[in-house]
Amino acid sequence: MKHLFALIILSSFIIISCDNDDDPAVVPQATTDLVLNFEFKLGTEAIELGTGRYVLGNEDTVSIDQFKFILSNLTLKKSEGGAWIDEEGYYLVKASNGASNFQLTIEEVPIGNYSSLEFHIGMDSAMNFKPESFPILFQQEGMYWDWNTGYKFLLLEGRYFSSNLTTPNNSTGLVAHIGDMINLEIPQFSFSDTLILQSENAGSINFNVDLEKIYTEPNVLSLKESNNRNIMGGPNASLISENYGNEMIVITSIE
Amino acid sequence: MKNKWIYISIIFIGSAVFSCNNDDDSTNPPINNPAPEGKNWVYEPTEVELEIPAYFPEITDNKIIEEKFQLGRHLFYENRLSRNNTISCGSCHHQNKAFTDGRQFSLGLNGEPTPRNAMSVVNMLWEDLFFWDARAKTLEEQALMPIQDHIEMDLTLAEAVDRLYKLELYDSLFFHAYGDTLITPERIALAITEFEKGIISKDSKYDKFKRGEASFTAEEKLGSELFTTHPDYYWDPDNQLNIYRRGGNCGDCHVSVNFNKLIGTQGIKNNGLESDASRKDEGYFNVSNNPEDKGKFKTPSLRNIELTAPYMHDGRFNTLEEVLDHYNEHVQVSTTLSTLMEVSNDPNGNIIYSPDGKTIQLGLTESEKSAIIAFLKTLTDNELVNDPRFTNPFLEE
Repeated sequence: MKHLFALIILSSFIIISCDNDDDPAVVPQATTDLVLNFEFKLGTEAIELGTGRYVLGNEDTVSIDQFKFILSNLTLKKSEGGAWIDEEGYYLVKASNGASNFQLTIEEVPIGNYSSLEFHIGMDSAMNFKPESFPILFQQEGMYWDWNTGYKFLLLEGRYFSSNLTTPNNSTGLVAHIGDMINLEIPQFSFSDTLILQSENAGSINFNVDLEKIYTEPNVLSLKESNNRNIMGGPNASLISENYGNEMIVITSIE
Repeated sequence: MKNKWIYISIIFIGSAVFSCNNDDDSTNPPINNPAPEGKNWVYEPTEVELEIPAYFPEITDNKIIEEKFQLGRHLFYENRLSRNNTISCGSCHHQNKAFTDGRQFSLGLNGEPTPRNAMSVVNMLWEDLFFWDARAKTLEEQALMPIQDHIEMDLTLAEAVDRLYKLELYDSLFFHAYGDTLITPERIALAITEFEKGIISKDSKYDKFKRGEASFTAEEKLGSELFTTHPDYYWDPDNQLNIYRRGGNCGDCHVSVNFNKLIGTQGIKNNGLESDASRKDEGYFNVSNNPEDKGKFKTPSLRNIELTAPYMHDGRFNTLEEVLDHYNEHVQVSTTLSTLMEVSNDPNGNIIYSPDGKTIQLGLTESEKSAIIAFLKTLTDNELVNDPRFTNPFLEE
């Protein structure tokens, strides 16, 4: 019986010492989820992929078949200084059939008060040329150029309509595939209200994503010009990326 | 005192062992499958882990049951699954042609042509839509369709089950695959699927290049770059300027492990074979009923493309040269043409139309077209077409 007691005592000692091991230095941080909700629009209208037709401010008519971009290196800055970076997070933000919005949940965000946010539209240079490092999904979504350009940071595909076109349906393709590290955009958002993340419930940030801005703010690329309707690289890609890094995405509310 | 301690220990160990046994019983259903009378069969399913290269997309279930694979192999080559006992899956899917049949249109049990060209049955684990018109969403669903098709094999599933019950061979094969001799359509589909899952092409020159075991010739390398390039300007970081890259525009649709895998229906495209007026086969439109899908077909795998002639859903092109000529010179403008094929820029940023405006061109030279074909031929996997595990078992027995 003595042995048994000894065993029990030993066991409890092990249990206690296990507990002790968890304690030192690094206190596990309380975290919660942060939901980023993107509403895709053209001007003021919610987009409907494929079938919806939209008249832009300059009276160009377009439809959108696909729109998606890579979001990475999300950084939240704390009100009292310091920041949290989602180092492992490489996400695809994507408009899909039957929904004009996309919800992205960032997991395990430390609780706290945050005053601003930034993220990459696209990859960082360390990862841009490593196809095997990423979810194969990015390739299967057509977001990867196989050779020396790396990933497509942003992809828009649709149609441009004009009675001046002699093609079937008086329409032609509208394409922007933007990649290349020189076109990396890192939009920054200051919160008008502090984002307070508490452990009990997920926080959320609502964004408007206005696709028209891709062609209008601040660089105007008229779709009446054929070389503005198909942009995969070159000087126009830099104008486009400047536009989508500028005012395409705006915060509408924080909860 | 000492004895008592030993006694306690024994009880403790005994109960530990006992509870372990209990655990096993609860997680693994008891094996209670007596062999049919007079047979000394034992149901011992053998799990085989598939050899999958690291650069293939990860899949959750990477194991097959060997006995189920062997049952599926027999069913795949089983002529008695056709009404007049003349054809099997293997009749239109020959191993030496990467599981295609070399015909423009496959022939059914009465020699009548089917409406479309036979597709290759390779690396099916990485496919999510089946048939040219994408009418099957799973491999299991696909497997039973040709058996029931009136032109192809023309058996009802009830008749198929009946026939297999009458063949003694299948008592043993089903018992070893499933633990009893019950035959159902679902079990037939799952076994054929298990066989097809095992057919993995991973030893082409391209694969060896990916693994660092082989190098491309200069022509193959040029071809691989042309293959993936959409003709346009790109930033050249070495020289700090935008340069125009010529391209074959293949990689917009032919991506990932089988060079066909844009996710889901994104991979269903109109590749400009016909104008709106000339088109006869509406493809995916017949499945979706959406007018935007007229003339669209599943982007096929390019693995072993050298062996799978003739090409396209209707087998209209006999050679890869004809295929390259189509994409370079004869793409027909239509309402549903793939947008990415339509917008192929020349160095001035304009689409190259033919003078009549009815076709779009890429402007590749003959040697650039040859380079793309040289790259495509690196996708040929001779180990696959000679692998004894995929041969017709009835020719051995």
